[in-house]
Amino acid sequence: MQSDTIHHHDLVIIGGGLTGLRAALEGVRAGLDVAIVSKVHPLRSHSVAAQGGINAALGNAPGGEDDTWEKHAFDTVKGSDYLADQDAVEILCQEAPGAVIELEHMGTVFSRLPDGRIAQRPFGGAGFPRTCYCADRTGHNLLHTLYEQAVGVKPPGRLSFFEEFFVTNLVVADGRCTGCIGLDISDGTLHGFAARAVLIACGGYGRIYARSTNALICTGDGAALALRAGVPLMDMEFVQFHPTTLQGTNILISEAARGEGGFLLNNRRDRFMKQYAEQAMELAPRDIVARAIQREIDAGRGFENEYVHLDLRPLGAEKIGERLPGVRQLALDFAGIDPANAPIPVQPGQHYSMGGVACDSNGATALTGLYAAGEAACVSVHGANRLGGNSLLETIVFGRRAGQAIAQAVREIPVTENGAVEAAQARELDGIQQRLRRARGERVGAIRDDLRMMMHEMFGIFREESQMKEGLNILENLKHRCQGAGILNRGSHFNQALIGALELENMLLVAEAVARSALDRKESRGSHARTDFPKRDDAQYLAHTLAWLRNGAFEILYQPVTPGRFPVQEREY
Amino acid sequence: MILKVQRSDPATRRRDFSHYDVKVRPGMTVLSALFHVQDRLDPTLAFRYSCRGAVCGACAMLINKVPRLACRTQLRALIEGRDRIELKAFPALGDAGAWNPGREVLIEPLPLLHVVKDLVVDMRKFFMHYRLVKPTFQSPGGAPNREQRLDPSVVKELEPYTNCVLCAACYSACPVDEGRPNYLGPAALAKLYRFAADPREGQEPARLETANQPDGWWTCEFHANCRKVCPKGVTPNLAIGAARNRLKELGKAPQPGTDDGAQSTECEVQTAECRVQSAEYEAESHGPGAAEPEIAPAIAVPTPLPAPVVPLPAEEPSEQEGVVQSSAPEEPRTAGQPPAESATSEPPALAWDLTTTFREPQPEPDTDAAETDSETEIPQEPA
Repeated sequence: MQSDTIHHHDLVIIGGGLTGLRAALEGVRAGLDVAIVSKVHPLRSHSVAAQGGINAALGNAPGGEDDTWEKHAFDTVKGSDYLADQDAVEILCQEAPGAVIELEHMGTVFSRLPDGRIAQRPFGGAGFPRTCYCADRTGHNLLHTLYEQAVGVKPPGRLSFFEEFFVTNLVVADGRCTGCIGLDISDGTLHGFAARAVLIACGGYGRIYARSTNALICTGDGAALALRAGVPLMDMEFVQFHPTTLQGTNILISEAARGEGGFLLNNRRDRFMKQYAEQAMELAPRDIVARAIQREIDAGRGFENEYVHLDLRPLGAEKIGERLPGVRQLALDFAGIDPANAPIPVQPGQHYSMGGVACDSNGATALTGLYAAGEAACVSVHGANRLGGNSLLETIVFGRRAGQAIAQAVREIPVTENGAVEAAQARELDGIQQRLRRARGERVGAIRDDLRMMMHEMFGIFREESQMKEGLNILENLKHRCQGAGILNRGSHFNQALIGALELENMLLVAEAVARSALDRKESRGSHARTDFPKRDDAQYLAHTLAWLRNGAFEILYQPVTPGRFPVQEREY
Repeated sequence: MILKVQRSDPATRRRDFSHYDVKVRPGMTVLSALFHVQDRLDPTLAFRYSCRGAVCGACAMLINKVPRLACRTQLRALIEGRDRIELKAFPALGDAGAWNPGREVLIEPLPLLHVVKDLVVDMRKFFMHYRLVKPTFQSPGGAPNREQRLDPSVVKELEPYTNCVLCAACYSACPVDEGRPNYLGPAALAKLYRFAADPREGQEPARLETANQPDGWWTCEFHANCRKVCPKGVTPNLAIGAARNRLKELGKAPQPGTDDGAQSTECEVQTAECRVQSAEYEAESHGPGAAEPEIAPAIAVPTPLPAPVVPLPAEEPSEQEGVVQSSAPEEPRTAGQPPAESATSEPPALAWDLTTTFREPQPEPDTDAAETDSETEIPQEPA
């Protein structure tokens, strides 16, 4: 391990998924010199796994003609259990049709109606068929579209890719973020990045849970970077559990499977959703369906006390092949089941991080020069529960806005001097060498597995005070164990033992933010379901949770929700 | 069950095999087995991963001599000989040394790409070829606030190509890639065809011209390894056949009588054959355990792969897991995996200089002239 060059760019984007790429395109368009720094090749980002689609009130689909962005906004706010900031939601929904049309103009091959317009399908919590899609590979198609645009930017050379670089810390000097430090995984060199602005766009923290649909890389690195730089996280207790993940591997089975007409059945072959959401049935929002499935399993009406059935047979083989080919292939590959012939075994699993780095609708955080967007950020447009089809939308709308805002802001920001970056580089190098001296000690993997199981058991779909307190005790112990964990690899090239240890440190930090935020919110709202406080409490908790790290300890504060045109109501489906 | 994993260490320049005894659990994939090894047996092992659900394309590697996604490959199926893919063999697939397919799963890095460490290959050459086809959609403009119409039947035609995850399995399975290192390869050509066939751009002739070169459309010999190994059902062979036919219709194919011309008449027949094979493949291989039909190779390869199988000692594998042994260093391969020095001594024929590091890409000259030039700069082999 040794230090290497300091790179200078106007904007450094941490993360090369949809948000990062969309922001980069905007930055280059505005004349900035942009670098994307990502721990994987951009095409391996978790955006690629999004299946179902992207919401926009285009009004294309039959039955959707009367859709408007305001109705989209209402569904989003109601879906959020009124925790979303309504000004941000208005931006999201107003800019949605333009975002989808722009993607189409960039070449995305959306699925089409017979007349050639973009097709739209029904999705959970939505009043109209509003979700535009590319079969069930929407994230894949969008990510490849944006990457294709990114490799063709004009003028060339204004967008650099630092692939397989792991960002170890942000650089903060004089109350401003002036860059970051990145470890080149391929050869172990430590690089400095001096920048006039840094955008955190590296996704969520799903892998702190044992059962997660997320890619293995979703370890909350962005949230941890922000915390260590003294920037608050927001609404971290709101963790979305997707109702239908493949039993065992927890690979996502898209909501599109229900949107296209799939049924959920318990072991009595009963469509149990009628007891939980009589109108919306399987297309109730995700928090409601996930809890319903868990309740059925807990009441002994699941299979092997583990899962329920998602039955796609009513769709017929042809429709499955046309609309859900990816779901079919996943079921074949990972469960050995053809959904045309047999129901798919599904169970809820962690799916999305509603919380993230607190920022405004331009991505600006509490730290000058530091921005956040996408799943890594909390604007907040999803509040306590995200609707399906709104996350891809968020990456495009707020990625673009962050790029624009940064292009405006950096005009007033001087070019960063090397001093602070060099100092940080030396500090980080020293830290990494110290870690590498821990040649003996507990396996990192063992600590990680214990963390994930603890979060699953103590901070899962249902939460309760004594359990959560026990969880925090376990967490203290895990933090202690992490300090003595061994890194049994001295190599400089592709040292994944070192990367795994750095990721575990991030995961522990983020898990504590989730845990402390969850313990403090004594109500049930959206995805945060407390058995000891089963009711929503608007008098006390119609507010965002802010979690900060102050002198090494967490501090929890609340911040009011931005109200808007939709008055707070009971949430029924 | 033994995982026999090829190891390469750039620090010592050693290449050898490590053997790991892993207890196979139901549903265990090659990727989960590798994690098990890295986590518990050998933290120095390196391999790429991300989604673990066969959508991101990060974990392609050579498994029992077939390029596959590790996350999608079930160990049980490999051991039991199900889910087999018969490839047209070629030397870069390499010699397995002492390998017992009944007891061992052989895991090596993708052929035809330089190894960074162990199972991690340098993907820059692959992505340079991708960039050479200029894979950026050029919007024709028009009404900016409405989508361009696209017939659902066209979407169906494009999907086999937009489904590509750029894992490089096809690239490293291509017998032609080996002999012609500058050949664009199946993935890049399939990507190019996706743009040529998109009526919204309306640039079919110009797009097809981009690879109207010996190292473009005209190198393929229709072995169809590409579509056999593709984890996403992409059919580069069909794209290449269709592109050649269109170029001929447009009168832009190389003149008959030249070598390339002779090859292209031959290829029409083979394209038809490929269609049939592809239909069989669709019909038969999309269920678990479905076997790939035996397909007679379209073209004989002069040096068929010898498959020397030296059985290991007959004792039962111990229940205890662990590193079994690290075999003696073997000579680094020559075919397809030259040491780094030889790469730099190759004539720099590519528009994108492969020795340029990816993190600091050389700015392309920003002139229209350079743009048109680079179309003709698709590398040609020295005569």
